[in-house]
Amino acid sequence: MKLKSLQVNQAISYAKRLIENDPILYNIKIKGEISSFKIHSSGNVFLTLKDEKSTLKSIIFKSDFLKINNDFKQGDHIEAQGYISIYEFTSDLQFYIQKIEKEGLGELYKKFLNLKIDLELRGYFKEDTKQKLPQFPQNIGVITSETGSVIQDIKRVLAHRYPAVKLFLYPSLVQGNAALENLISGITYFNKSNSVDVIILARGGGSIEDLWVFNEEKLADSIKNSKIPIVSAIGHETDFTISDFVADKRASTPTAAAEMVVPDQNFLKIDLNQKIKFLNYKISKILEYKNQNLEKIEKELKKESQIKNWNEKMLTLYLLKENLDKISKQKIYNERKSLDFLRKEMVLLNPLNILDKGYSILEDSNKNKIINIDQIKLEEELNIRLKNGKLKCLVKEIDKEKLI
Amino acid sequence: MKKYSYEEAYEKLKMILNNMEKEDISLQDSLDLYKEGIQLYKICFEKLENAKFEMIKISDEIKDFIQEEKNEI
Repeated sequence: MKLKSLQVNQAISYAKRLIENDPILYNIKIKGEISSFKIHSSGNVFLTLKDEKSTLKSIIFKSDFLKINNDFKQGDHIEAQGYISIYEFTSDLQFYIQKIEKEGLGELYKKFLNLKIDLELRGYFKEDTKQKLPQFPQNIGVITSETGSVIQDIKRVLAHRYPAVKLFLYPSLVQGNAALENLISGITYFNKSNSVDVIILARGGGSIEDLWVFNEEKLADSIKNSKIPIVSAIGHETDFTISDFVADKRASTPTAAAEMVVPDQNFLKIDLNQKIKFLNYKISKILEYKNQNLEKIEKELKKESQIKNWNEKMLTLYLLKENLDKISKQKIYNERKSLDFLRKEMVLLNPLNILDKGYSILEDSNKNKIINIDQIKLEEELNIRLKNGKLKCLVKEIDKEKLI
Repeated sequence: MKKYSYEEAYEKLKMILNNMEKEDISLQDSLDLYKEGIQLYKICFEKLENAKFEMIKISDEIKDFIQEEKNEI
């Protein structure tokens, strides 16, 4: 069988097509050491990966390189993701890198876990040592990048939800070597100036390396020692950093952090209106109750005074009666006594009683009683009354001689 | 009336509502509390109504000043 000869480019193109259609080479992760590294003036990056046995020419296009956060240099061990293809002009087999991570990420994760366990044992994450967020903060400190969406999100939420606050922004790097110092300075600043009620420590999403500064022990110490409560909002909902664990509260996103530190003014207004309604209801109830009470007391008072009056009258009556009894008894006694006396007098005075005792009454002819001897003349006719009869006598002799 | 923060006014308002629940409260006391409650409500509401959000950036000079102080220590 006679082979048909191909153009060089046709052969290379064919090989390229084969490689590009391979399901493994189409999306592959390769780890190795960077043996050369060059950023071309076009912005594309050329590098060579190697291990003990092979070298692999690699390229990162400018657009992809801009999305990669880390700096690389010769000698770094990296893990890169992309596809393998052939550069037709030189027929070089090339690795087209789209994502790149420093190898040893596993090491970082191990470090993170170790620190987490260490701090947990030292009580850094204990809920009962955490500070409560103020209910109605007046000043809020935010430590984050001056640029980017994080501060804009926080600003928007605060201004809308509870505009009665002042936001103090401490601009800080949130990534890289200088970031640690920056973040700690921010916490120190707010604690020293004592100007805010709560601090938000925030950063947008990123890779574990981007967020690494928030896993530093020094920052954890600074958060732990802060006298002002700190809300940590690092990365996305699924990202957890040491800062999140140490902070007094963890918010899943910067927006959530802003919502967490202030109350909703609309809710507060509803609550206030409910309170004032209750206050009005309460005072009307109290007035009603007091009024009822007053009426009751009034009635009671009336009843009581009636009883009192009656009792008083009864007492007076009783006293009067007693007095009357006494007086009347006395009077009767007195009357009786004087009556007795009179009767005795009367008995004594009854002339008939004298005649009983042998006395008699001497009268002249005109029935005048004779008391004095000078009333009598000789040979005068006199009447003598005895108890049971009358005598007519003549005076024979007058002897004026005293009887006793 | 003394100058209240929102929190102080709000807490006092809550306290007044509690005190008005007491059964043996006198008429005079309840009227005094009511008047005070209305005033506190106004303070709170005005604080919300008149609030203007403000953002202040900590300047580099202040940051440096703190930094120097820290270094001295």
